Amino acid sequence: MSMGEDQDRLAELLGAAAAGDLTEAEAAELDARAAADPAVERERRETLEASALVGSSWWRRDEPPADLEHAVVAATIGSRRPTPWRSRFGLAAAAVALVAVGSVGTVVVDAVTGGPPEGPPGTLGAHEPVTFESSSDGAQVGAELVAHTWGTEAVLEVEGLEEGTSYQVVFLDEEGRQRSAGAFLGSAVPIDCRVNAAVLREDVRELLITTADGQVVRTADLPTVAG
Amino acid sequence: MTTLPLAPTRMRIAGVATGLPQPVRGGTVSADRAVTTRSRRLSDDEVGFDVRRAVRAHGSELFGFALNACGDRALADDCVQETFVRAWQARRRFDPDRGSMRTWLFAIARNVVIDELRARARRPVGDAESRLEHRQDPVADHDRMVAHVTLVWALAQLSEAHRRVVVAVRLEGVAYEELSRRDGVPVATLRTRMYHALRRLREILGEEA
Repeated sequence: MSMGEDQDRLAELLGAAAAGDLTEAEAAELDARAAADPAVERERRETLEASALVGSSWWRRDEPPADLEHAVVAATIGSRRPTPWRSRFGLAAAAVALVAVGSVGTVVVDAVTGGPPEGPPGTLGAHEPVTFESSSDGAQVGAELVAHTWGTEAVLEVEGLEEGTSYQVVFLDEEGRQRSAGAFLGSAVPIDCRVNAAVLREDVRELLITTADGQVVRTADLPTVAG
Repeated sequence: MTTLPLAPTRMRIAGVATGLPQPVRGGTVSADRAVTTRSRRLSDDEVGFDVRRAVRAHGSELFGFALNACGDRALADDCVQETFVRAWQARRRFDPDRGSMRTWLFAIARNVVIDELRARARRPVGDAESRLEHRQDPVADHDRMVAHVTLVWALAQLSEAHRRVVVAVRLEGVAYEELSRRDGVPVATLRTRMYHALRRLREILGEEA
């Protein structure tokens, strides 16, 4: 038996041992090899350990959603281009932003269709436009919320806030408790920012952007989630 | 003296521990995500990360991991999307000299899934009594969750042929003879695949440790 054949045989024996499938003769063969070579004994032990570990798991095969690629593209490179969700955001928010802020430099409007789920506030995965109260600071701030099973995500587009200043993104719940979603720094260039908080969309009543010392920069009342 | 094909690995099996680095228990999950500026963005070609190509090449296996880790199709979908979003945001940090795109994406996916399952575990369930019943030992629950996610994560990274024999024989209880009839593959080959699959599993877990 060549060295390669010898190793193949050992692998076969170890694979059989892992499933408790050794015949009596094979078990004796493996025992003899393990007794003669500590490396084989170690390999047998580690193989059986791995087999036992795997046995505590499970595996179900299923195909990913058909729109996975589309959704990922929309959430990544789509954010630099006219994309489905941003189209809806732009169309819905542009009119508000034109009044509230005076210009919509960061909002992209496009008529591409398709994309993530649609539905009323609270629909998982849907992008919900946010309407901030007017402000005279000249900065342009756009936002959307995305409800998840694990919390609420805010997708922000910001231009014109003071460079280098830290801004906090905070959700308020019905009782006025603050749930931090994270922070970002003002920049000299437009920024895209995604932050999230461990609070469900149905429990969120208000979105705030504040400075580190609590000065409110933007505020938006959020519609109640139905049902 | 027999020459073994591979060197020993460092996987440990002690209770639910796998020897992998454990996330800080009781710590908070960072809520911040990457903040990117348009002026610093390079083209995908420049940074070597093509989102579409990555999804086509790895979306299915990442979904398989997330589905089996979460046990929830919708949550798995969320996790896979989040994985690609994080990868895209961090694409300038991907260094092909340090590992493959697949390995990098799986590393991100593991963190995403653990983050998501942690967040879900923190959500109140039912009344106080049922919460006590279901969460008698949050630390143990957390450790079990991480151990399960890590094991499934390693399984997901096996080749299809390797995973098939492991799943069929070790998880579904199919005998080698039966699997041999189903797949038209000799029993000896299936046994050898099992060994190499477990070997690879140990390597993956050992590399992560």
